[in-house]
Amino acid sequence: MTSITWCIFLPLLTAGVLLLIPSSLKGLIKTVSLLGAFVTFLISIGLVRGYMLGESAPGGADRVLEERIERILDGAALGPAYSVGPQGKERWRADFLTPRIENGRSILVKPTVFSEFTPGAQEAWEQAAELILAKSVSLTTHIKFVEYLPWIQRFKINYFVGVDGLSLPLVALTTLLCVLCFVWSWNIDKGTKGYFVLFLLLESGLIGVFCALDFFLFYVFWEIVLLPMYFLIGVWGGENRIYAAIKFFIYTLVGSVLMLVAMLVMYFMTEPHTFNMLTLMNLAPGFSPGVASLLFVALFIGFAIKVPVFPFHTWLPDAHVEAPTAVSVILAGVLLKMGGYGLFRISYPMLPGTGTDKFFIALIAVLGMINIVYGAFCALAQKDFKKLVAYSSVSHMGYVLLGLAALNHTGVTGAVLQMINHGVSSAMLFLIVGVVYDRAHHRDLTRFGGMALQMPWYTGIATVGFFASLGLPGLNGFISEFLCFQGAFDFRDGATGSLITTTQGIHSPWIVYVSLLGIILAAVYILWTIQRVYLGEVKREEYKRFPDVSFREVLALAPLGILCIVLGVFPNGLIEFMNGSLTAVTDLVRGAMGN
Amino acid sequence: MHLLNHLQALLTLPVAVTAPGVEQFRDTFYPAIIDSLKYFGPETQVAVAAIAILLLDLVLPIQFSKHLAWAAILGCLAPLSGIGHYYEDSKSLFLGMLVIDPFANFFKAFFLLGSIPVIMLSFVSRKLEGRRMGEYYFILLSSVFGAMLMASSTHFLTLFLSLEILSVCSYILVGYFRTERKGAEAALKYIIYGSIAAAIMGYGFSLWYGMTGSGEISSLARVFWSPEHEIYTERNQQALAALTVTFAFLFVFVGFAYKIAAIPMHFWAPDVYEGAPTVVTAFLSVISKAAGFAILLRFLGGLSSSVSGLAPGDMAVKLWAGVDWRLILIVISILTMTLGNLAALWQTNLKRLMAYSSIAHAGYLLMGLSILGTATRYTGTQTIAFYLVAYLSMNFGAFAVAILVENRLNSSELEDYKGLGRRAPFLAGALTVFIFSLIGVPPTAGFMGKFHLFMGIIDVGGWPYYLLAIAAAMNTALSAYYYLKIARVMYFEKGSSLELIQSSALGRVVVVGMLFLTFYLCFCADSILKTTLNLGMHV
Repeated sequence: MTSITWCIFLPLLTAGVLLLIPSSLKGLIKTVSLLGAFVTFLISIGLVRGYMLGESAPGGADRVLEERIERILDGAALGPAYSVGPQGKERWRADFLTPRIENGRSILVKPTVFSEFTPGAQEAWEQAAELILAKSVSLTTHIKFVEYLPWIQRFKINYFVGVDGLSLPLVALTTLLCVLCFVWSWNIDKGTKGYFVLFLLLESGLIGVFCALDFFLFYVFWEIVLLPMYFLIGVWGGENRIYAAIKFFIYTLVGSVLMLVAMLVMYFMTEPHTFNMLTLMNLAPGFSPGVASLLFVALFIGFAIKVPVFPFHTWLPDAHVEAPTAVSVILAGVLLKMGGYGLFRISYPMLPGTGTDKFFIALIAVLGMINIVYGAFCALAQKDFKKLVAYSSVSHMGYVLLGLAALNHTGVTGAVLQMINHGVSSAMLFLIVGVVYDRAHHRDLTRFGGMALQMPWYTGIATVGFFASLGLPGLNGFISEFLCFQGAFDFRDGATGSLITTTQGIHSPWIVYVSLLGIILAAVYILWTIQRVYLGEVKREEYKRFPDVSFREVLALAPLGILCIVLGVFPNGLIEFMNGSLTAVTDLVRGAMGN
Repeated sequence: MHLLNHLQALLTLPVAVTAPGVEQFRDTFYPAIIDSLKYFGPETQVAVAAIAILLLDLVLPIQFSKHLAWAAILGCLAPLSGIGHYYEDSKSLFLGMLVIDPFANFFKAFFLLGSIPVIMLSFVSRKLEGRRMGEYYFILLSSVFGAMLMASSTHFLTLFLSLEILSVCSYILVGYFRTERKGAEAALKYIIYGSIAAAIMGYGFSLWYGMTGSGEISSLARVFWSPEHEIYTERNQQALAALTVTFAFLFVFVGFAYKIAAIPMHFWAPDVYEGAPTVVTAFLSVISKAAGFAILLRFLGGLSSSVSGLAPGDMAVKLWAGVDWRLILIVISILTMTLGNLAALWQTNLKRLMAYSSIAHAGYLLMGLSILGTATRYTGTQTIAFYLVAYLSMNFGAFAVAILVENRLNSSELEDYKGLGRRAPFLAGALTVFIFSLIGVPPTAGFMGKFHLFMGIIDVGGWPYYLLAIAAAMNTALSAYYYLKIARVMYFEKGSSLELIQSSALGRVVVVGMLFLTFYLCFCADSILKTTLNLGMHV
């Protein structure tokens, strides 16, 4: 077992241990879960450090795949002409497994003498071809800590996991937020055991989604995330929790079954059939434009529901309002990122033709714009504190779409950075809402006021979070929003200037101008919220008795506040970290345009 | 096996005969029948076990009567060795009446193994307590006998007979408690529907017989594709023949649709499922349905390459107006799953809900039938066989929980499941797993099964199949609503009582077994696929 497998399954293992503990020992349950989550976090930090070694980082995808190919060829009867010595294998490989480059894609065609092969050799060819095609994708060199094991061989499904500069920050974000959530959830007393078991299951699923490099595996983890979420909202949620839980489940299930169909269509349209995401990045771009467009739409709906993109966003405010604080944190901090991640990991590299298609580019950009502005207006209208934060999430995820639509290096970097920054700042905002809700037991903005007098520390920390969300320079939100706008605005960025000509007509600067409105609106609703909650008169006598933030709350909030500042001042470390992988994907997509 | 060999030696015809008819009998028919007998071992064993139980019950004191369950389990286990021994054999038996091939053997083993949980659940079911159980297990084993015959029959005659054996036994099981109004009503409805379906099917058989001159399934394709086909040169005559074929096809399908509870013969299911003893409902929803699918696969195989020797994907197999019969199945499949799921949305009784869910699952399974005879990597037979195993695990699991709860609460209303998460944490947790498996969420058997079906239809491609895939996908999301309703009442709603619900050890063994199978089929799918991917039919 490699460290990445530990990272994925340690939470699950911890959940298994929890099941053995009697449910009356609540303290022990909490300690064990926190310990499990913390060790997982340490492992993910270890992965980050290991990844920074660059070329020499362990478990490079190219090396692991090469070993696998060698093993397949060693194990197969290659036929009498090739059975002599090690050179025979090399010759077989040179004769039948040398890919031909066509339109920037590697292609392997079944040899014409194929029918004369033994079934074993045919199977070996199919297996090896899949891996050789995977290896030829430039992204492969950026993927580290790979583990590749056969799972369901009759469907060619493998346990294939690994991380690159895109997924590793999200994994680290997940593990960090989970630790903080466990700290926060120390006050959960209703059904403690079930809560922590489900939460750990959720963590495993989330890490799995970001690590999976096999489409089937990706889908399995994607769905595993659904189950604990349903129960966490439904059992530990607020008044209207049943409605919110079922709405969340069915919404996302609709998206994911569409994804399943698209996945299978891709599987059968590639030759050799494969679920290997890297091989698909190589082969799927060869689909005819019509098929690719339909696949793109099916996948896009699946991911858009998760992001959530207007008009699929209505589950989000409901789920957020009803979910307990810690679950909201994971929901906003990580779950929404699955959508953006899916777009960038699956839709873009596998169907780049549609990614650069005028219509889809325009669609994503316009939807991004709608998200930004519409989300901001909705946030402005809310009286419920949590709903306001939820709609601000809708607005902020719009920047991700805008950056992705720009399809240049700046925009894409901004989009991914925005996912991480939003993960930090929105998580913080939900915790901030949680602090006040735990004391006042309501979230009605009109009934608050003057918190700054009673709770100065709380107000101080909250201000950091709010200003990070607002996009104040010096805090993290500013950098990524700026990059998204710059990317969407500056079409001339990057080596290929041709993007301007393909997208100029629709991808007009007007989209950016309108989206900029979101910044102003964000300032309005956030400043107004600060004013309504923290400033002014204390509206009620009982508010005067509220204690300031407790140690537990500071423990959960402080790391996020520090991250907001660190990422705002030194974003370059993270940008450099992601650079290689993002460039590889961007080049892949733009390469498919035939420049 | 030894016994049969002795029997064979005993039966060697000793007399010298002269008449030509007798001579033919002696030289061809008699040896063929005698030779077939050794393959008929498993069925014989089940029949012997059934009769033995009936007789044994006459002498047993009533308090030991319930332990006949162990004899019944033995009766299900013993034939497995014979099935394993001849598993790979593929030949026609009893002059084309029956057949032995891996397909039949797989389904026989499926029925036998699948009956074991039913018997165990009958043992723990409180409703059946304190009664003489001899006749119950006799009827149960007889219906297994019928199901086994169904899987191996290749002639309209055996097909009809075996179907009726299973049906008649099921009628009795449904109405097993004579004094219960609901059960009696259910049995009556079941009989009426069953008789109508059988009558229509019989008419369909006669039409086929009239066209092919043979009762064997393998000759079905003759009307489509054979030298004789050239007789129909006249345009109108050809059209007439096509019309007859269409009606013959639909009539026979109606008979089978009744067994699998597919549209348009699904009306009986909700009432029968609700009215029957829960154990019997479990039996009907899995074993009886699986038998229906086995026979449908065999029959439709006669219209496609797997039995008739037609080329894969042969489009000559057309009905009236040039419609591919698979297209009809696609339409029926979509209608069945959609209607089943829509009707299930409003149910408040678990058994009734499971009835509609089983209709919906029949719809999913029909997806596998609609790809029969197309040239794909994963055939309809494979996908259906795998799905049935998955369906067995989750459906028996759900019914096992329902029975254990019913034992204590004497109800299967969802209302009474409120707060079950606290009252019976293990049962509620297990039921949740089965529910998610029924929805088709990974990592469960139901997901792998559905995935396999999707693979089958998407591999064929073409817009009808893509449409089917989308419809099935949307239905999956639709079904989540009512399945989750079960999880909702168990966990999200408070019950009136907090008293713990005890369950018997044997009942928990069944639940654990089904839980294991549910996960095993997903994580170690390879081991089952090895079997289900190789289910050859005798041609």
